[in-house]
Amino acid sequence: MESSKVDMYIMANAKYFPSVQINMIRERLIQLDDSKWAVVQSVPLKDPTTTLIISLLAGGLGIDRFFLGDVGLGIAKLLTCGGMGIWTIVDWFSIQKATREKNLEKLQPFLY
Amino acid sequence: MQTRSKLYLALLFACFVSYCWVFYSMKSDNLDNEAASVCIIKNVTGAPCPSCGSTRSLIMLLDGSPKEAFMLNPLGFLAAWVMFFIPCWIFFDVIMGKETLVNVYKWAIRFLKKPPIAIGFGLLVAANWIWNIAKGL
Repeated sequence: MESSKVDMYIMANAKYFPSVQINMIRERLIQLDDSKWAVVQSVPLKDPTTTLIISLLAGGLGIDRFFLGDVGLGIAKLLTCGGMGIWTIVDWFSIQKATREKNLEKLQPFLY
Repeated sequence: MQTRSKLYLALLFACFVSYCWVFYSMKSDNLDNEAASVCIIKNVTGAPCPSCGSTRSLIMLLDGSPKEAFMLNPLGFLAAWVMFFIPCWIFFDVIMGKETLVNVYKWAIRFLKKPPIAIGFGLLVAANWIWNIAKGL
């Protein structure tokens, strides 16, 4: 794909991915065929800030984990009073990283 | 790390913490003391969360009063089931070199993601939550 197109995508979506992986994503996208551009653009990405807000407000009920699509972890968090309060607090700090990794996981099948 | 080892380690760790917590709760004898609650929702809002009372329910179950345990919080039964069967299941899988628990877990996740099941599960949790608030746990 054209590097200008890829750079625009990266500029618009950099906050959705782990910063250390941005270069890898850029290189992979440049190598990608033009026909996959529409699919790559339509991959639904979760905003880390939204997840953080959900985690702060309803982390005790595991809603943040359900939002990310981790149903198993969501149920575990819900049925243990948010991991006895400790997991909730840990997630306040780690949920943004988890969201970025989840976004990368979603994009990965289209990069190879 | 493989999904299997990761899942089993996480489950064993959760079971270990749960055993320690139940043991501590049984020994401390201050179950009704508000300050002893670890639930953030209860401590912040004063209202119980859907799973508040599970420990007390589990202890009642261990004391041999299942009816009172159910009336306090039915999730105590689920906790008892998980804490008893999951370590046995993991032990069986490790000994036999199988992945039955991982497969059941993956199937359960797919099953729970179906909209009618998810809605049903959500309604059950909501009903339990309302019951908890009404009971004033």
